[in-house]
Amino acid sequence: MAKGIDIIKLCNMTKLEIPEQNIPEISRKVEEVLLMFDKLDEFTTEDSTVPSIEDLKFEMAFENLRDDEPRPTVESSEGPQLKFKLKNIKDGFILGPRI
Amino acid sequence: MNNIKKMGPELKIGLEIHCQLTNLQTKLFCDCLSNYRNSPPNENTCPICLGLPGTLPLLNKRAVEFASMICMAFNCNIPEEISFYRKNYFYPDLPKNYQTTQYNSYELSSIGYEGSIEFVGDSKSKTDASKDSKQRGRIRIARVQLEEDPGKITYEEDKSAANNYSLIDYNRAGVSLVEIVTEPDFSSPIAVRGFLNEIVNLFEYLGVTDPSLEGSVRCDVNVSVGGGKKVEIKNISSFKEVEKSIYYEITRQKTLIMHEIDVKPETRHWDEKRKVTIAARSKEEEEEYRYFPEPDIPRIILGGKFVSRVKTLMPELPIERLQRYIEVYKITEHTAKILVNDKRISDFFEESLRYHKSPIEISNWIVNELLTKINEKDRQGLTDHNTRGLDILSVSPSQVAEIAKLVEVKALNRTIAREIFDKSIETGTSPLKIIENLEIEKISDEASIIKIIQDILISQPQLPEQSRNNPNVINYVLGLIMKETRGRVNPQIALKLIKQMIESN
Amino acid sequence: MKSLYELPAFVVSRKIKEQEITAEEYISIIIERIKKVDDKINSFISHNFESALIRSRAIDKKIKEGINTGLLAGIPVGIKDNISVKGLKNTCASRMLAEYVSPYNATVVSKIEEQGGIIIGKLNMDEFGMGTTSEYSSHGPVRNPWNLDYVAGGSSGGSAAAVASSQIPLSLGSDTGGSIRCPSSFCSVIGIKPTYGSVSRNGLISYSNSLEQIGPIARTIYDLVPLLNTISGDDPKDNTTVHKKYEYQTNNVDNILKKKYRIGVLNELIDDSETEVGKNTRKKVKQLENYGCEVEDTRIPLSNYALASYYVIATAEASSNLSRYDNLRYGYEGSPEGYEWNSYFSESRSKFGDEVKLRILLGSYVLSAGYYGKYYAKAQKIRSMIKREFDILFNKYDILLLPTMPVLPFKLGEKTLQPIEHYNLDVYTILANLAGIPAISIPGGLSEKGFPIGVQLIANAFNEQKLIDAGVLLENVDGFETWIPKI
Repeated sequence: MAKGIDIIKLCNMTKLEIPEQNIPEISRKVEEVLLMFDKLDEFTTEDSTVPSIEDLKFEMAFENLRDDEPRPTVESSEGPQLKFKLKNIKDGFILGPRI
Repeated sequence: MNNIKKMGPELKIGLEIHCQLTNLQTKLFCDCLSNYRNSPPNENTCPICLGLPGTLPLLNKRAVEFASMICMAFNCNIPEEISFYRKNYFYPDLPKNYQTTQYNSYELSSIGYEGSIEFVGDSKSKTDASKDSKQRGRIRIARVQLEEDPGKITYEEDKSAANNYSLIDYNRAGVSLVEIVTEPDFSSPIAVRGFLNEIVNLFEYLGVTDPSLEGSVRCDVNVSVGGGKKVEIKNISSFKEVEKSIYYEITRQKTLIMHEIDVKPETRHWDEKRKVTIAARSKEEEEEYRYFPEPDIPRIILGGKFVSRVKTLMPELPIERLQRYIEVYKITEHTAKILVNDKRISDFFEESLRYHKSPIEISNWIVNELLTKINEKDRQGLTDHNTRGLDILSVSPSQVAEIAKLVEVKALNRTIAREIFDKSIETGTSPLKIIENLEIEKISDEASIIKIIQDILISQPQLPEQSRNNPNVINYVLGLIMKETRGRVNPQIALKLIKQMIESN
Repeated sequence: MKSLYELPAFVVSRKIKEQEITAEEYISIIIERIKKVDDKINSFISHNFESALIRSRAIDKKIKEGINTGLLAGIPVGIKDNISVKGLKNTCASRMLAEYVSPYNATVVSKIEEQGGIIIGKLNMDEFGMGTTSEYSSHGPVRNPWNLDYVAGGSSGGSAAAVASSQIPLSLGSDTGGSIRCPSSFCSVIGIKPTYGSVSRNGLISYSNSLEQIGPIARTIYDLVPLLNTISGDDPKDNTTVHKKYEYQTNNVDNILKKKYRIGVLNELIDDSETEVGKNTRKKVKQLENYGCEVEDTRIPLSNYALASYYVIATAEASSNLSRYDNLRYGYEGSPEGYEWNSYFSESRSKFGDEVKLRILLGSYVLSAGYYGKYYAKAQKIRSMIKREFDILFNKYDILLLPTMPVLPFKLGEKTLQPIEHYNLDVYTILANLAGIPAISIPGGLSEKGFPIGVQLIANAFNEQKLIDAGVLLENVDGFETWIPKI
């Protein structure tokens, strides 16, 4: 059963800062939903024809993949490509935090 | 006390090799250039490789082809369908904070699996002491997978603590990488080094990457000693460092074992300056990659005919070329290996053959003369870590062909030929030109040639008699003259004079 | 006489093409209407009025010159704020993307513009599409035009409410687990979630990629179909789209009746609904029966597992999709200078709303090493089984009928505290997303207190035409396009 979830560890993993006073509430909510997820445990089947996960995955023939061609420099009917304005640029680089 | 035997505990080394497919035009999932190396920072990007909201990956067909060529070279199985997974982890060089890759734990998704490669063994004198050709072996390949490269983080100050911020360039983000994971089948750092040299060569044969580009082929290592826990080493900049890092890690682990301290399964970084490995993170931390199937890329159906089609795209592999040299050209195995072990040298050889089809003679010139020169330069530290020396010499295949031809057809004495060849390499002038130039001084001096011939005939009076039955005698005399004059005689004139004098004798 | 903004789009478009009115006049009236009404509803996050007027003039010019102007000539279309429009803010109703301006158009937006449609603004929603009421928005909740103290439904609440309150005739929403159909039901408009793979997701900001589709919302089926036709089709920029001919028709009633549709009624689900919802749904069944449709009760045995399966998959995919928001390359104001990277990421990402954070945590948990089989793999397996059950049902029936929502619209703030209570609202809508099949919500009537009740119809993959046909029948018998809230 979904008790004793380590919320702090989960927050570190997902890079989410949750104020300490909110931890009990969010923990309660996570556990409540995980309890609902446990419904899946009730599902068992002996049916050997049960489809695998792959059944739902879309398929695409290798031949239809994108050709290895660089995009033309002149833009199409869409008009000139909007140069994306990245945040916090320094000499063309994106400013990042300390590593 | 512990009971490690005297011969030392068993050593197991495995590799994770990352090969950028630099010969592609575009990135793995978008049509930005695969060649990111010439662009100003962040110019070689688009909404897809920057991971802008709402963008979807569009898989590069040729990348799949290139990856499967690598699989075939490593004798891997290629499944009829492949799929992609997301490896979730945060890092500032990763635009989406996940990497699109392949993953075989939940299903067989990767482009290649369960291969093996004979590794020929090192015959090149580059890694001196390791010339033990018994080192060769079979390395098993666990899997080959296709994935994207992240961006690059740099700093203004060398010492990272001195920096208040980092600088990120996403030009590399999304470039195609093929990861080749070997089983831990290596038992020495030297074997690893030899193997790496060979597979870099293999990549070049396949035409999928240019290994001379910095960072195009990279390698992580895992090392375990005495059946202990596996330690991974990342962050290794060159193959020389790979070898060093393994040596360090072996010593470190042996020391721990000696003191009865457990070796922790972890990832360590190679500190190139201090030449030590540093703990980076524990296994528990890194196992939370939360892999799951990439929902934006459908399963790719390669189909039953895919493998046979890729086969037709395969260039001649080193091992096949080796066989051809030995069987068709009758070159010795030793010489053939040296040629084949470096695609550029081997191609140089093939090109030379177009000017003069004499494989044995030409191969000898390349292996004995040219490569010796290159190795000399190499020792002087004139070549970069991944590039090969051919570039530093201004020598063309036609020059080599000419010299071989001169020796064979005009019976140029080897010593002299060697000198002419040296000169030719140094100056880039064709050997014929050099000879012609030498001849100019001599043409006016028929008298001295006659003098030399006379001397020879005096010291070996049997020659005129012998030449009646053996036309080679004339060539023999010419050789003596060349030796005497260190090649400064016009062979045509000399031949004419020899004939005259022998006949008149 | 009716004002232009009340008229169906196809009527106005004809007037524009026949130069009875100009597109500019129409767009100006629409802008006036939005300015007058939307303060109360809060359906727009941002406007695109100036460009819309410029575009309308261009359309007028084309018409004068006799140049073809397309299916949507001069018609304003509102776009949910998670669908990229070049040059406009795309906030997804999140503080995380407060300053993000898209440099490119979603494929659906390009297609609308190609057909002469005019992007009028971006519509309010639950943050990143995560919600069933449009209350979880950085822009404040959307209010139900039928009663401003009530929720509009979600997550495409702005898309439905703007259309219901006659601000705009057409909008696009996105539907991951009912996000088009739920607010359509609560606001009494028509909304369709197309077959997975029939509409490009390029430019749709992903919440749960394998479940969601973009779809149109309108007041009448006759407006819905041209927009659906406009946006449908395979797209080289989305490898999950399917190549097919997508040409839907609004057939006349006689022709539809000849098709003798067989309708499976999901009886248990009707019984499980609020009394008035159940009663109204049965009325719809009767109406279709009266049209000569064959009607039979049926069930989806695995529907009990659908909710868990859906939320495992949705949160798992969401947790990964939302990783990219770290406020380095784009996002909102703020600089990483001086921060260590872990703390910068954590602090930046604290701008997510609580519901989004909850779903990221859940999704990360279910994907953690060791839990994949228990949650994700299991959920996918059940999903495949549900798809299979639908396949079997569609051998017998053309259309399945059930309520869109198990409840009537409720007051703002009533169902935000307990996640499960909130998630339970989705039980009827998630089925179509899990199976990747098309589903439509059609206005079914009003409750005693005057709240809309929607009826949901589901068809097999790529059988949208059947849903449209049924929509024509129900619109004809009810005239629901005339049920307009007074605002």
